[in-house]
Amino acid sequence: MTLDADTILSVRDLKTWFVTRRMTAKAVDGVTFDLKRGDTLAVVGESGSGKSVTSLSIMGLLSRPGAIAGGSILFRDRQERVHDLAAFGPKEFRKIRGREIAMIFQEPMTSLNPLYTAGDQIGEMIALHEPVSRSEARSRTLEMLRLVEIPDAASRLDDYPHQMSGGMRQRVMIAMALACGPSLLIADEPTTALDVTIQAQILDLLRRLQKQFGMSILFITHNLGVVAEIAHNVVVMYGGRVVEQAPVNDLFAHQRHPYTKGLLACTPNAARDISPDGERQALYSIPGSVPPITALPPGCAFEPRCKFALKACREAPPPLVSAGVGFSRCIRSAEL
Amino acid sequence: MAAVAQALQSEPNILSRLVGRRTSLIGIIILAIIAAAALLAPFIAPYSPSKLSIASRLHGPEMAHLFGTDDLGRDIFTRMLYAGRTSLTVGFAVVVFSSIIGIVLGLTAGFFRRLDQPVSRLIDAMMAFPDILLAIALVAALGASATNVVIALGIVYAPRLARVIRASTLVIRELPYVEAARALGVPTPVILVRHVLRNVTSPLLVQGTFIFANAILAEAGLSFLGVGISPDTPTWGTMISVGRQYMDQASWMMFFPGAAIVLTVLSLQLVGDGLRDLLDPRLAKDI
Repeated sequence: MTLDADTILSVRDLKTWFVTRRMTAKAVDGVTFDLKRGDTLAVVGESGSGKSVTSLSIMGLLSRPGAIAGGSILFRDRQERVHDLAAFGPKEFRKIRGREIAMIFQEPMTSLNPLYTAGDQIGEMIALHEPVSRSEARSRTLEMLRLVEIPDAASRLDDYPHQMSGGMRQRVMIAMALACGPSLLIADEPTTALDVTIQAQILDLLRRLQKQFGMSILFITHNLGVVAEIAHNVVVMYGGRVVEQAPVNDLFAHQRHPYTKGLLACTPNAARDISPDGERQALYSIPGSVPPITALPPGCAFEPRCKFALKACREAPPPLVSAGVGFSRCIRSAEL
Repeated sequence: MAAVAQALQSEPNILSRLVGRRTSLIGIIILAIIAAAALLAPFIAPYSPSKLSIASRLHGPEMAHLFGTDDLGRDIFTRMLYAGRTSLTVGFAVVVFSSIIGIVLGLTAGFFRRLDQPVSRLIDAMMAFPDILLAIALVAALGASATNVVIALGIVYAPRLARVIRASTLVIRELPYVEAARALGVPTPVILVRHVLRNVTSPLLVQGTFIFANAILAEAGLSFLGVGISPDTPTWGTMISVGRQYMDQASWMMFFPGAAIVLTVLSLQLVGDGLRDLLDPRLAKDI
């Protein structure tokens, strides 16, 4: 298990399958990527592309029948020890979760327990990982609330989740996640449920906190606009596989996979989509839909929806090849 | 789900909302009177519950004996007050005991997928027995005493609670805040108590009220059948049981304890109904 000194997480050929008597769903099938210390890696894809299952595999939160069927997840902890999370049992995961790797979720509305105040829930996290007195936990909690820029933090300490807005709850979630000082934060669509203005504030906050704590972030999203805001590197997933991987600037400058091209074209752009005389352009959408993970085509998973498809695409799954500064799983990547 | 959260969040003022409903208020008032009467029995009761008076046996209701006297000349009003202590204590103890078993079984079945099948089948098997029959069998096996009646009835009612708790746990287990807690390294026992159990308190409260009522009824039934608490200890059930022999001469011996049972059970049901309406999101007004 070797890991470059500046790499904190290395997912190698990860296979997470849901095996039942009737079928096997290969939700994640041979995913490989590296996350450098202090960087943000965005994992992009539609629903069902396997991005969330990848993050759950890293956290050991898969529920049956999902299980890791192969590959490794190398993680470097604060003591510079390298662990293979793919081989971890529930006990070992408990030591890593929160302390080393924390996770925030999409639904800030329901990710907090309605019966406890914001201060209670952050305090629980602090008390969980280190022995502190009540008053110490409370002052640390207040500190955390100020850190995540909750206005008038002292009076918000005793508020219940239902008294807070979505953005504020997500800030509380972030404070809970950071309470134990993790070195890796997995953010599973943390801004999807929020207004655009709030979304921008949360992204700003995450960027600032990342700098302050030297945290690495694995950012799961389907929103390329968010990717442009926060990511250093991007992994695009489709049908349980990585289809393109590149540094963020290169990806936006030049997409080496038809799916990434399509995704980008689908992003609404106010300036482009409406002309000065009020004429609206039809928003582009990729034809067809994501194939069910149990019935992927034998060749390239994207082939049925791809306008660049050749006969060869149908025959065998294309390998991940070097393309520009990144990688692409397309046999025509050089032409694109 | 938002409705559940809302219903739960309103819990602090649940009592004031309960009092605001007329039927629940009536239930609470009757219950309070009965509980106070039982609690203050030594101060209210005009006689000693075991004071015999052959001269005044089987007297009907009169000024000296409000509810009449029994076959041994004991004051029925006095005995009813003391019987209320036993009946209410037994009912409450059954709620506590069955809650403990029910919570453990329900949480286990609902939270741990692997244990769901075996525990649920055990619950089903226990529920297949008719309540009273199972209770009689258990008391017969354990021996007749107040403690054993509580144990037997606790075992009889535990599966009902377990089912309700399992169902709620199944829902809560999948809620994002439980997953979030796990993702942040909260140990399973803490998740179970802080995040799951706390959120099933409302169905527990509703079921508890109904079990309280049922337990009082069942205890009376067991005592009436002679397999419950010994006839020397006044309970409403034993009083009816003794009164049955004098039904044609002294109907008051059965009437007053019977009325006490009816009133207590009725008031508990009223409170339980009110609680259920307030805590059940499907019946809440805002949907």
